[in-house]
Amino acid sequence: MNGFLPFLKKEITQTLRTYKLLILVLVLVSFAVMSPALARFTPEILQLSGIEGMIALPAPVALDSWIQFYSTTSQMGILALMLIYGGILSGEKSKGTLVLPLTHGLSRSAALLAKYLVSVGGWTVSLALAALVNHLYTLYLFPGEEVAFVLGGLASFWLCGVFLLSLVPLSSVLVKGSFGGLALPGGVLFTLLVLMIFPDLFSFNPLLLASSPLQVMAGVDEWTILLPALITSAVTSAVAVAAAMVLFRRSSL
Amino acid sequence: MIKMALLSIEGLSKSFGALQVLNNLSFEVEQGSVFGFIGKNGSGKTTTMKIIVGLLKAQSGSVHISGVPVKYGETKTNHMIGYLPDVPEYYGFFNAIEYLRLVGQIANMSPAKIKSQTSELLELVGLQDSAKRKIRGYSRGMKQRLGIAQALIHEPTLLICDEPTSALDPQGRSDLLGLLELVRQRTTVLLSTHILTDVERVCDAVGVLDGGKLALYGKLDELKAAHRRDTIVIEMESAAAAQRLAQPLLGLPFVQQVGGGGNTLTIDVHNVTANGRDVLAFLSEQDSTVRAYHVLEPSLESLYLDVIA
Repeated sequence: MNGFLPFLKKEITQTLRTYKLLILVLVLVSFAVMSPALARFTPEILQLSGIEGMIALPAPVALDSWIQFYSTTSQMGILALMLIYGGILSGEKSKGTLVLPLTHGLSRSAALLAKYLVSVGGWTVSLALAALVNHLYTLYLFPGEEVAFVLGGLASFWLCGVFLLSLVPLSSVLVKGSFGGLALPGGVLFTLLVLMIFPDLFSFNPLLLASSPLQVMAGVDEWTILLPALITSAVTSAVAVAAAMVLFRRSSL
Repeated sequence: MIKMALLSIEGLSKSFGALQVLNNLSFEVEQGSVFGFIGKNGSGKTTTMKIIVGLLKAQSGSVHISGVPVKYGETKTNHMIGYLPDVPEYYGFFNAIEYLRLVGQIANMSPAKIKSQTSELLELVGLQDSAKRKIRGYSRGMKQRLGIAQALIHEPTLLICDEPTSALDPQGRSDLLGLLELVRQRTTVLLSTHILTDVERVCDAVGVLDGGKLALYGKLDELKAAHRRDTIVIEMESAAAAQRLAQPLLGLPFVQQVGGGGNTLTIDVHNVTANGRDVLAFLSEQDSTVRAYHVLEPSLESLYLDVIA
């Protein structure tokens, strides 16, 4: 693991100076700004558009703002996350910027782990900031209402993002080209979406983590119902990163 | 021929699929020398260098640096090597000081050592005024010079440069060669190139790679001496004087042939060392002014073309 700390510092500098983190934060926070407002004012918007009365709308509650937030973030947010951090290793492989640090003795595992951790860190910071903004704005627009399990739902959603990010290094090692890092996450995402229709496998599907925070928050489901999916995601993530390290050591640059 | 080998390569073979790039390649680089590693594009120079640095794995053979074996995937020998790839790629969001700090830290140098080496090397390569500019704004020549600095930061015993001048304009090339001449005082250099004039300017030993092994190998002056033909070139004060002397020269017993044109005479003799003096003595007897006298040196180009063809 020689060179891990200096390379981690380099990765952090890179994610800041190339505006990757800033862009991700802005994207997610913009969802957080839109979601509570959209939830709160949807009846008014419909009224203005003149279709009021055609559909019976219940009065919006605080949970609606989180429903809005998660549905946007689980689609556009995850897409932005993958586009921003999907090339974190592929880019260096195809540009050749890793060659010099490697010849100075940087361990390949250290480079891979630093990159993975910084992508997870970027996801964590962006999601936390966005959730905080969403939470405060929800409190402001829906005063006096309480939403349960905010952190639990958020954590399971976070793990879904981590799961997809952990496929990026393995994909980058296996698939050549600047976008090699997106091949495996894309393929896995598609497969898991298809697998969602099989009830037997449903509870193990990592995507459940992204689709069920709302149920958890609303108290419809017990927290434990996510346990199989949580374990699947955590174990798969660890295995994928470890496999990527082993394969990266053997691959030629 | 070699006194003390800093780098020794033995029986190195490497193929990519059906393409055999290196075929039982062996050579040594003596400590303190500048070794010119010559070959056509695609002859295997970069492959050899990547194996030495540990970026590629050889199928067979061994590489030793100061007696320590190079192993693929390990970095034990890396502290002895500085490597400058043909097109070095950097993190454009760093400036030169930050980049050198990164590689210095990876090489486990102390902060104080990194600082002193950085300022010394940036001055050596002439980048001290651009040290705080982002590398993304650097020209190719500046990137090559930064490449030398990063390769030398940990004071390696062997500097490996892969075609460092091929992408540079004439000024940049001349600057870089001048830099290599300075660098040779601190470290042994292995320089790969296909520009023969560069080799003649800075190298003292050469190896010509062809068909996966060395077609020509040795010290440059020894190779030239071995391939020297016994020809003397004399420049006279005028074309008339040259013409006047051609016939009498041919009359001398040790002269085989006289040629040339204008005020130049090319004289083939039996033995250039012994007969050269006699030629000069004869010319002074003839009361003619000699402007220049030299023994025709085989150019590296002619040596190269001989072995490659």
